[in-house]
Formats: sequence, C-alpha cells, structure tokens
Amino acid sequence: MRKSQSYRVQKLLTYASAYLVLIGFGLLILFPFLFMVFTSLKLPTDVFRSPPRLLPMSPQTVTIDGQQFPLYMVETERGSERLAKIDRGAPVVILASVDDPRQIFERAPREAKPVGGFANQETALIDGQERKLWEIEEQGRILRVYELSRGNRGVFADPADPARTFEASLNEARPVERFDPQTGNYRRVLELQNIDRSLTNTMLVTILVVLGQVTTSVLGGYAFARLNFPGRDSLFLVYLGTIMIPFVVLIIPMYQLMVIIGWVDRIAALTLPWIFTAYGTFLMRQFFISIPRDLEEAALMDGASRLRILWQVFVPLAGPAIATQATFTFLYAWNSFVWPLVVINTGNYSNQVLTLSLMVLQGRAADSPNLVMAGTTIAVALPLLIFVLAQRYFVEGIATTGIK
Amino acid sequence: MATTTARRPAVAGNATLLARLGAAWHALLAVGLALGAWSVSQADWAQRDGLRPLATALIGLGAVWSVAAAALLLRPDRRGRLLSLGLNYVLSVGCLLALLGTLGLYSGLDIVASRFYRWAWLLIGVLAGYLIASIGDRYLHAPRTQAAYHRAGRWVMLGTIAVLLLAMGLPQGLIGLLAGLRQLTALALLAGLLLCGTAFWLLWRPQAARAFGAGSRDAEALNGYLFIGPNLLGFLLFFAGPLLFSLWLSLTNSDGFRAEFVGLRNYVNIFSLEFAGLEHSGQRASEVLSPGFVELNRFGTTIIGAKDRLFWIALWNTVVYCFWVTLLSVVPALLIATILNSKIPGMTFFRAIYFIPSIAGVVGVAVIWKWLYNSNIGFLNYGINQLIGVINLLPGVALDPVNIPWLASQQTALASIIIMAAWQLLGFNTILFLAGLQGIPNDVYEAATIDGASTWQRFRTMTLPLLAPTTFFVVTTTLITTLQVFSEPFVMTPPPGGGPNNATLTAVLYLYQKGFNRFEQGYAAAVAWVLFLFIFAVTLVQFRLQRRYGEM
Repeated sequence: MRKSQSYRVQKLLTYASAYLVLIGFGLLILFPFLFMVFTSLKLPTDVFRSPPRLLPMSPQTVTIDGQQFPLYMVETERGSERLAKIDRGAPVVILASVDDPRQIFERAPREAKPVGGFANQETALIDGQERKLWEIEEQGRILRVYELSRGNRGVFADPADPARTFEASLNEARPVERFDPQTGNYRRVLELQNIDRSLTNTMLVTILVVLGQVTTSVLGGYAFARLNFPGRDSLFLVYLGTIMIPFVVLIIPMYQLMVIIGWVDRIAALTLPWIFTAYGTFLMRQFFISIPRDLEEAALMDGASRLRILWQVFVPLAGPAIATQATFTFLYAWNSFVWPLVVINTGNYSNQVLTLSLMVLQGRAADSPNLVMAGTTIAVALPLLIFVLAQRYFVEGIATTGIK
Repeated sequence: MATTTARRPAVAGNATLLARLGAAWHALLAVGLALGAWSVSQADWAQRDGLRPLATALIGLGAVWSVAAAALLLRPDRRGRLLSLGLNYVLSVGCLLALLGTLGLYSGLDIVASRFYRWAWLLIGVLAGYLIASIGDRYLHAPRTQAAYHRAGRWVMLGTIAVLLLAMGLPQGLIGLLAGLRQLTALALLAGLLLCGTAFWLLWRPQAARAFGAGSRDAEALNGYLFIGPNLLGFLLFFAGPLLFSLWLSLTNSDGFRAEFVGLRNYVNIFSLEFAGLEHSGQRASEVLSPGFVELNRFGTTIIGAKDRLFWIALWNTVVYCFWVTLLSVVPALLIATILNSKIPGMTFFRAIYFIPSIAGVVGVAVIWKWLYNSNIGFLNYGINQLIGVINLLPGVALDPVNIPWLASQQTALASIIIMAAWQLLGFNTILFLAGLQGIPNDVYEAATIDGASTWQRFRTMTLPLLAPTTFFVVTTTLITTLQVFSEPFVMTPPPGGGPNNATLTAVLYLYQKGFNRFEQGYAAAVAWVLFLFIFAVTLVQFRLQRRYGEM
C-alpha cells in the first residue's frame, strides 16, 4: 500500500517537472509572437517605453470644463487618488543631504545656492561619483546637499471637484493607463505599404504552385512507380541526385533565364518555374510503389486508361501523401524570399509578395515598430489560421516524411 | 488462322501509307529544322551569352532526330513510330508554350493577380465549405449525415471557386487571349501546333500502334513518357538546363548581359591563399604579401593572405553559424521530444505550439526578433536584467545590469542570429524526433524497465541507437539548411547586409552581393558552385559517419 503511494508521488513529480519544462519552452516559443501581436496594437509613444512592457496601454484622460487633462495617480492626504494634471507646474530640484543621504528635499531651483559660487562650485565624492554641492535652508539651518534629479511640481485637480487642487512632484505621480489596443495601426500599415496586395499575390502564387506541384508530382510519381519505359531508372537516379542540389546554385542562371524570356518582375516568374519538383515526384513515387498491384490490374483488364486508373484508384488512396506534399509546398511557397527578392527587383510594387513587402516595410517604417509588427501579423496570420485548421496534415505529414 | 492471314496485307498496306506520310512529314521537318539551325547560327538576336551555339545545337539535334524518324518509319520499324511520336510531342508542346507566350498568357498572370486582389475575399466561402465538411467528421456513427455534410461542404467550396473565377473575368480573359491570334507569329505557331499535333495523333491511335506491330510494352512506355512529360519538361527547363548554364557561367566573367570565357579564373581567385612569415607581429601585411592579396588573419609571425578576403570571412561565418545552430536546435529538440513522448496528456497541444515558428517563415520571425534584440527597448536585455535582479537576491552576489548591443556589435551580431535560428528550428526538429521516438516499439522499453535499467541508461543504450536514423536525418537537413543561410542576416542586419564589419556576412549573402549588387554574375556562379561542393562534402561525411555508426 505504501509502496504504491510513493510510486504515485514519484509519478506526480515526474509529470510536474515535465510540464514545467514543456510550459517553459512553450512560453519561449510563443513570446515573440505575443510581442508581435501586442506591439502591433500599441501607440507610437508606448512602443519606445523603457523598460519595455508587453500590453498595449494608453494614458487615460478626463474632461473638465470641456478640456481634456491626463489622469495621474497621486498620493494625497486621503491616500492614492486619481487626479487630473491641470498644469505642469514649477520646476523643482530633488536634493539629498550630504551628511545623511536618506534625507530628501524638494526645492525650487532658485532656493539652492551653489557652495563657493557658480564660477567654481565645490564638489564632493559621493558613492564614487563627483557631485556639485549646494546649500539650502531647512527649518532655519543651512544644509549641504547634492542634486538627485530634477522634475516639476505639477498641479493636480480632483475631477469630481475641480476646485480642489494639489501640488505634487511629477516624478512621483504615475499616469493612469488602461488597456487600449490601437486597431487603427492595421489600417495605417495598409496605407503605408501594399501589404494587402502582397497578401493576395502570395495567396495566388501559393495556390498555383501547390496545385501545379501536386499535379506534376502525381503524374511523374505514377510514371516512375508503375510504368515501364526505357531510361526510367536512370532518370529516376538523376532526379534523386538533384534533390541534393541546393537552390543557391540556380539563382544566377534562373535570373538570367528570366531576363531572356522577359519574366522579370512578373508573377509568372514566381509561379511557373516552381510547379515542377524532383522532391515531390520522389515522395509520390515512394507512396505509389507501396500500393498493391492487384488494385489496378482489375481496372487494366477492363480496359481503363492509365489516366483514369490514376484518377480513380491511386489519387483517392494517396490523400494523406498529397496532403503532406501540399503542406510542404505551401510553407515553402508562402515563405520563399530569395527568389522573389531577386526576380521582383525593379520596384514593381504591385507584384510583390509578403516577404518582400515586409522587408520594404521594415525599412520604410524603421521608426514605428508598431506598424512593422502590424504588417508582420498580417503576414503570419493566414498560415497560422490554416495551421490551426489542418494541423494534423502539417505535423503528421512532416513527421512521416522525416522517418522515411 | 485464316482470318489473320487474310487481314495481314490490309494492315501492312495501312502501315505503308502511314509510314510514307510520316516519313514525308519528317523529311520536311528535318529540312525546316536544319534551315532553322542555320538561321539561328547566323542571327544577331541570339548573341547573348552562350545562347547561340546552344540553340543551334538543339535545333540541329531535332533535325537529325527527324531524319532518323523518317528512315525508321519507312522500313517500317516500330521504333520509328516512337521517335516520331517523341519529336512531334516535343515540337507541339514547344509550339503550345510559345503560342501561349505570344498570346500573353504568362504576362496575363499579372492581370489575374490584380483581379484576384479584388475578389480574394470570396475565398472565405472555401473556408466555410471546409468547415461545413469538417462538421460532418463528428457524425462517425451516422454515415448518411456525415456524407451529407461532406457533400454540402464540397458544393459550397466548388461553387465559391466558380463564382471567384467568374468574378475575376476568366471567360472574358480567355476570349481576350484568343484575340491575340491576329498576330502573324501566333498564327504560325498555331499552325505548327496543329501540324505536329495531327502528326502525333495519327501515329498515336491504336490502329497505328497495331499497324507498326507495337505491343502493350510500347503503349506502357509511351504512357510513361506522357506522364513524366510535364515534369521532365519543367525539370529540364528550370533545373537541369539552368544548372549546366550555371556551370558555364562560372567559367565566364558574365555581368548579366555579356559574358567572356575566362576559364578557371573565378575559382582560382576564390581559392587563392598565401602564407607568409612576418619579421615581427606588427609588420604591415602589404610588405610580405604578393600584390592582389589582402590580409585574412595572422597567427604570431605567420600571416595568411587571400585574394578574395570576403569569401573566406563569409565561409567562416557560415561554418560557425551552421555548427552552433545545429547544436542548439538538435540537442534541446531531442530533450523535449523525449519528454513529449512520455504519453502525458496535452502532448498534441504542446506539439502544435512548438511547430508555430516553422510556419511563420524566416522573414517574419527575423523582423520580430530584430525588435526583441533592440538594446534599449528590446525585451531580451530587459529579460536578462530581470534575471540578474533575481540572481542578485542571493547573498554575496552582485552582478551589474548588462546592456548587450546584440545586432549592432561585431562581437554579438552573429551570435544573435544563431540564437534566433536555433529557436526557429527547434520545434521542427522536435517534431521529427518525436516521430522517430514513436516508431520505437514500446515493449523494448518495458523489457529494459523490468531488467531494472534507469531512465538515463535506457536513454543512452536504447533510445539513442534506435533513434540514430532520425538523428541522422535531422542533423543532415539542419546542416543543409543552415549552410544556405541568407534571409536572417539579410533582414536583421541592414541591407545590403553583412552586419558590423562583415560579422554576419554569410556565403549566400556574399553570393547575392556579388551577383546582384555588383553584377559580377560569373563570379557569383562560381561562388555558388564552391558552396554547393562544400555542402555536398559535408553531407558525404555525414553519410560516412552514419554508416560507421550504424555498423557499430
């Protein structure tokens, strides 16, 4: 009995530590995306706040006699109160006593006199820093002090009773803020950069590339798997070999080819060259080879054409394999960057895709991260949505091809 | 028996007619192609790069092919039929593609894109259809309801697509394309297409197959070529062709428009290194290195000079990047996958979360991280300082807050990009490992547990060896991807990229700068081939290691 209990405790501990690690990693993975979404909803002033803050907040205001004033949290004799700042007030210096740095004073700048005069003011080493010394009068005594900071003695009023005013240091008053997502950022980023057009371009390119690749791969895979023709095996070896060849080798000659046939800056250059894939053909061939032969032999006896057999026997069986290839291609086409960068190069904005637009936006709105993040959110949102809907195909598809 | 003998002359007669017709057509075609080859070899318009000899050779090959087809058809030989079919197929596809180009289909895609921009919102209908169909998946026990939902979903999807195509003006567009037929070139190409197509069809028919005594094997082979055709065409046009072209370009000084053959000069320039001794470690490099060489590095009194200093810097950065990203994304992935594999509830949820960075794409992720790395308002420095604050709570610890410049400094720029890339690859690698782990049968573990093996022992002696193929796959793909790194430094360190003092200049980035900023495209092609050979070598070493490891 006791043994099983200790076993249960041990199991619980294992679970707890496993979840701790998983959640920790999960937060690590998710945080940049949370940052993206929240930043895209921020005010420009909120973006450059230091220390940074995740949630988009904006200062709250209150209207007194038809005029808007910012709200602040101020310490009064009634405790913390929400008051409207009606005046910036007079400038003040915050000073600390040299003998006892815990004693803090607040004075108008005029009231602090430099020790030894302005021309050669005396200094002292305090906490390893050389500081100018000042003299102030405090309850009839003259104290030697040094400057901690400068600020303003703001004038605050009770919104419920505007006649009731207070003076308080602005350094100590905290602005009252509320959660206030700026959805207008998205409209502004669309006006600044043609993200919407890029979005539909990317969709169109992706749809065409996925449809094209699946079609050519299914046809080619079937030929490699089931049809005997002279040179088939050596051709297949060539295909296999080219999977190894990285795209970088093709950038320059492909660009020159596009120049020759006049496809630079055209959607055609983004789609048509990419609807043929050795890798996809290989995947499809591997899948078709695993389908038992007797399934098609009956159909062949009946005199069905090869195309019909492919369409009616093989394609329905290949659903998962096709879905896998489609998701691979989708991710690849949606996120491709190098090729669009090279081939849509003369500033033809209407044919840009999202990755390019993001790159341009990043340069144009370098001073407004909120707009850049709004653009990024638009670019990332659709694949994420599709991922949520078709998660099974993504994860399992990639996992299965990984093992084979 | 008698009927067969009676029929034979008729068949033969049919074959002679077909063979004569075909031979005549191919003789004509051969003359035409030969004339074409000659005119291309004389033409001015094909001056570009190596295009003229290539085009001449290709068209000449077609002419020879045609002669061979004609000769074999007259015999009559069934191989003649195959040759003729092949040539007619290639020619009609060529005519078709050229015709579509003349009619403006390819440039018309731009117009399609602009219409799609207006009507893309209709795709919501497709989404709705998908959702309706997936509601049906809930009715597993009621096949009829399920089928009804599926059918409804499919009709909604198809209907939306039809409406979308109509709204985008597909019919008008196609009619507009036909208007292009008024051009003379288009008419000529159409005529070519019709002629070659007819010739193809005449020989393709089952009657023709019988006439030439072709068996079912011929039919299968033809089917094979037909099925592989579109794929092979694209492969030749957009892969194999450019690949060979690239090899040739790397032997020229091409600037994108004109190219002169320079032999191996590009490769020699890339690889030129010089080692020299220094009299004292402070000596100037130009005193000991040959002209054209720039200092790359010095160790004590030895100096290394290179003709192309930036290439070596880029290669070194790439190797450093590749090593660290592989290490940082593979080892933690294995750890997380092992945890996820312990069948705890909620696994699919975490798995989905970890996969998100792979979906978001490099550019988007790089843009986000660029702001996280900001030294003043970025969350990374803030987080580190918060952590330091917590650590400082311990007695006797007093760490100073840090202000790491991340992307802005030569020392940290590459490391910043490495951290981000490892973060992005982590989830993907975890999924791969997880799949590998789930392929390991459970009873293996149970046996070991009964034998009293500890968790670590089980992991080291069983999981790791059984997981070796997956590990090999993960490491290889990570290596191949990371050796081609481009987008990360290009986006994160401002254009043209390369970071402070070339700290984030990678091989592909260098290739891009050479090829598209300075338009030294011949040189860039050579850099590409060197990089390719490097990747190939790394993969080969990987394979060797894997084999040795596997035999152990």
